[in-house]
Amino acid sequence: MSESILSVRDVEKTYGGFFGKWHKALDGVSLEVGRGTVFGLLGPNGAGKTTLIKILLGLVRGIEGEAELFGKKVGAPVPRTRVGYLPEAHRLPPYLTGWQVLRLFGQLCGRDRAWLDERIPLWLARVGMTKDAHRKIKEYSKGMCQRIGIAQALIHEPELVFLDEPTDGVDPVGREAIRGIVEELKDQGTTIFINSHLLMEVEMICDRVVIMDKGRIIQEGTMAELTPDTGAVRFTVTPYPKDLPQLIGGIGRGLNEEPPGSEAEDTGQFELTVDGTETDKIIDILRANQIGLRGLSRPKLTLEQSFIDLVKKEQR
Amino acid sequence: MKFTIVRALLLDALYQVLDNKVFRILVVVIGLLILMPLFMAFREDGVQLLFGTWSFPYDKFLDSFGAMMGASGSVVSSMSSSEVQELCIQAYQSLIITGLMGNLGIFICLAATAFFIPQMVEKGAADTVFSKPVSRITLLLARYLTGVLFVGILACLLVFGTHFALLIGSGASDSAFLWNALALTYKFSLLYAVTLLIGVVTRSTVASILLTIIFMMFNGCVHGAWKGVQMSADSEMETGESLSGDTGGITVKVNGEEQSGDELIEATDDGDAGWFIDTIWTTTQTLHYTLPKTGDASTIAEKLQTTFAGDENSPFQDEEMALELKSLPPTFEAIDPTSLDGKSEHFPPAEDGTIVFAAVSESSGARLLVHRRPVLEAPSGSSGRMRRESSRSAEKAFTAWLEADESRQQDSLERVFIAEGTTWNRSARDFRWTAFRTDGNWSVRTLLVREGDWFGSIQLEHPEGAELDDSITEHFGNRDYMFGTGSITSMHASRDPSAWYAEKLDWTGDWKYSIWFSVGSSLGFVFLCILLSWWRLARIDF
Repeated sequence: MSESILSVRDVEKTYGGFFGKWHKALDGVSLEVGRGTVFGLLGPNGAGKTTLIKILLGLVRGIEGEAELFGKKVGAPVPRTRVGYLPEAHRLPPYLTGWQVLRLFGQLCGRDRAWLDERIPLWLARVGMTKDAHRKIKEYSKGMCQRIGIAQALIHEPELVFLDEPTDGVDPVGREAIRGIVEELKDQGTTIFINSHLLMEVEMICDRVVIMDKGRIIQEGTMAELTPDTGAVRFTVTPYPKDLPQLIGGIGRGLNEEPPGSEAEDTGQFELTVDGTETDKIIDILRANQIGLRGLSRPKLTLEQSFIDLVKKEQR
Repeated sequence: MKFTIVRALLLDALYQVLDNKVFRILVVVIGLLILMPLFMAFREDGVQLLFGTWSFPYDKFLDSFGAMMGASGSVVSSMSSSEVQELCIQAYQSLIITGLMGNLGIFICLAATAFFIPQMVEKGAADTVFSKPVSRITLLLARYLTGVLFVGILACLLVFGTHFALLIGSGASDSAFLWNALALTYKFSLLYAVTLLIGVVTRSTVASILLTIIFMMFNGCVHGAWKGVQMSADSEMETGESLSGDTGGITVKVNGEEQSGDELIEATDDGDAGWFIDTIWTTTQTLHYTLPKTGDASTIAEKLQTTFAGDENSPFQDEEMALELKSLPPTFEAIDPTSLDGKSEHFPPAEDGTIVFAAVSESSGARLLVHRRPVLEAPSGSSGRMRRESSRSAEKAFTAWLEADESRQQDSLERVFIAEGTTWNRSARDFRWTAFRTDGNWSVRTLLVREGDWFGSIQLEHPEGAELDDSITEHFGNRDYMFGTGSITSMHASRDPSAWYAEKLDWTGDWKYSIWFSVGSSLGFVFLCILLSWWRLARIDF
C-alpha cells in the first residue's frame, strides 16, 4: 500500500451515560488508507460509519484508541487544512450566496481571497451552479445545496476528501457529474473517503472497501476481493426446459432450480457451477434436446450482494 | 490566527446579522432616533418642530409634560431659557440612551444576536464549520466578539448620531454624553456572555433569549436587594440613634417583661438575626459580588462624564460631601475660606471642621459659607454606648451650642426635607439664629445636612438691617436655591437604594463601591462564561 495518510487503531467510541443508556458506536475499529486511494465505507444504518468520519475530523471527541491524519493526532486543527469534508445532511449558512459560501469555507481553510476568486468560478462551473452562484442558499433546492456542498469541500484543493453520501438528493445528471469529479480527483492523486448507500456507485469508483456493522469492521478488501468470481456459468436458453435437472443429469453443482412458471422461465436463464469439460457436455445435451443456447456468461458477485450476504450473516 | 480567517469570520457574522429581520428593524429604529432631534430642535427660545414650522415656548412645552416633570416642574419655572434648553437636551439624551436603548435596545440587540451560537452548533451546520481547520475557541470568541462589535457599532451610531443631530438641530449637545456608547456596549457585552453560555449549553435561540431575560431579572433582583440591605446597614447606626432619641418614655412588653425603647433597640442590635437570614444575606452578597453589574454601566458613564468633563461653571464642588455650588448668587464673589477663620461661628465642635467655601457680597456685606466636619461618635441613650451621630443628635447638639453662649440666640428651627425631582429627598435642619458679634448683630441662617460620613452646613449670614437681594433670601428660604436650581445641589440621593448606590460608586474608596471592582468582577464573570462555554463546546460531539 502507498504511504498511509489516515490511520485508525482500535478506536472505540461510546455515547450515552448521565442517566441514559450507554451505546457503543465504534468497537475496536482499525484501518489504514493509503495516499491516492478511493476508499469506500459501507454499512447498514447505525453501523458507525459517520461516527468514524467525524472522529477523523475532530467533530467527535472522547475516544479510546488512536486515530491519525497525516501522521498527526486527530482533533488538532492543522491537519484539517489538507482535508475536505462533505457532511451527510449538511446545512450551509442560509444567509450566504453560493459564491459567498465557497469563499467563506475557502478562507477558513487558509486560502486567501484572490486565490479563491480565481477558483470559485471554475468550481461553480464544475458543479453546474454558475447561474445560481449569487442566489442565497435558503433559495436553493436540496440538490443545489449538495452541489455547492461538494464544491466547498474541494475548493481549497485538499489532499484527502471525505464524502458522506455525496449523491444524496442529486438528479442522475448531477450524479454523473459528481462521479466525474471523483474520477478526476482520483486521477490527480487525491485520497477520497466515500460513505454511500448507493453501492453501484461505490463499486464503480472505489479501490478499497470496508464494510462495517454494529461499530465493527466485518470485511475489508479491494473491490476484486469483495466481488469475487463465483465460478458459476450462466446459460441463457430457449425454450426453458421444464425438466432441466433430469436433463443435465447431475452434471455440475449448485443448479438454481426454479419452480414452474417462475422468472427463470421468462428469462430463460439458469446457473450452475461447472468446470470446462462439463460446460461442453451441457451444451451438447441442450443441442440434442433442440434447446437453443442464446447466451453464456460467468457472473461475478455484485458488491450489493456481497454486502447483503455479509450483513445478514453478521446479524444472524 | 491568520488575518484571512479573522476577516472570513467577521464577514460571515456581518452577513448573518444583515440577514436578520430583528437587526434590520433595530437599524431603522436607530435611524429614526437619530433623525428625531433634527425635526424637534431645542432652541434657546423654545422647541421648534420640523425646522421651525411650529414653535413652542418652553413653558408651554413643559406644561404638556407636567405630569412627567413632577416636582421638578416648579424648578424649571425659575430657570433661565438656556438652562431649560440644556435640561431638555439632557433629558432627551437620557431618555433615548439610558432609558430606551439601555433597556429595550439591549433586549432587541440580544434578540438580534442570540442566534449566533445556536445556529453555528446546530446539527448539519456544525459539521461543515467545525471540520474546518479553525479551533473551537476561535469560533466561539469570534462569535462573541463580532456580536459585541456590531452592537458597539450600533451604539456608536446612535450616540454619535444623536449628538451630531442635536448639535445641528438644537445648536448644543453635551459631548460627555458620548461615553454612553461605551456604557451601552459594556452592558451588552456582559449580558451577551450569558447568552453565549446558554446558547452553547441549550443550542437553542429561543432558550438563549428567554433564559437571558430571566437572568437579567434575577441579576437585577440580586443587586437591588444587596443595595437595599447595604444602604440600610450603612445607615443602621444613624437610624438606631434616631430611634433612640424618639423612644424617651416609651415602654413595651417583650416576653412579659417591660422594656424601654432604648433597651429594646439594644436588644435588637445584639440579637441573632438567625441562620436563615444570615444565609440569605451571605448568598445575596456572594451573588452580588460575582454576577455582572449591568446596572452600573450608566452610572459609570456618568462618572466618566464627570471625570473627563468636570463642571467648568461650578465655583465649588465637594466630592466627599457631594455638594456642588452651581453658581454664585448675584453680587457674591468667592473668597479665600481661611480669611473668615475666627469671624464666623459654625456647627460644633469647630476644631473638627473647616470652612470649605466662602463667598461675600461687597454691597450688602453678606457671606455665604459652606462648612463641614466628620460625623463623630457620641454616647447614646441610657446605656452610654458609643454611636455615630444622627441628624437628630446633631440637631440637639446644635441647639445646645446655641443656648450655651449668650453671644448666640436661636430664633427658629425647622425640620425640612430637601427634594430634587421625584426620586429622592433627605432631611435637613433649617436654623435661624442671631450672632452677637463684636462687629454687630448678624442674622444667620444655617442649613444642616448629613451626608455619609460628613455633616455639612450651608450658612447665609448678613449684618442685621442689611438689605439683601430678595432672590437670595427667597431662594435660600424655599431651598430651591440650594438644591433645585440655584446654587448648591447635592449630587447625592438618600432613600432610593439605586440612587444611593450610584452616588457611592466611584473610582476611589471602599472596594464594594469601587468602579474598578464593579468592572473587574463583571469582566471576570464574562471570562467565566466564555470559559464555561468553551469547556462545554470542546466536549460536544457533533
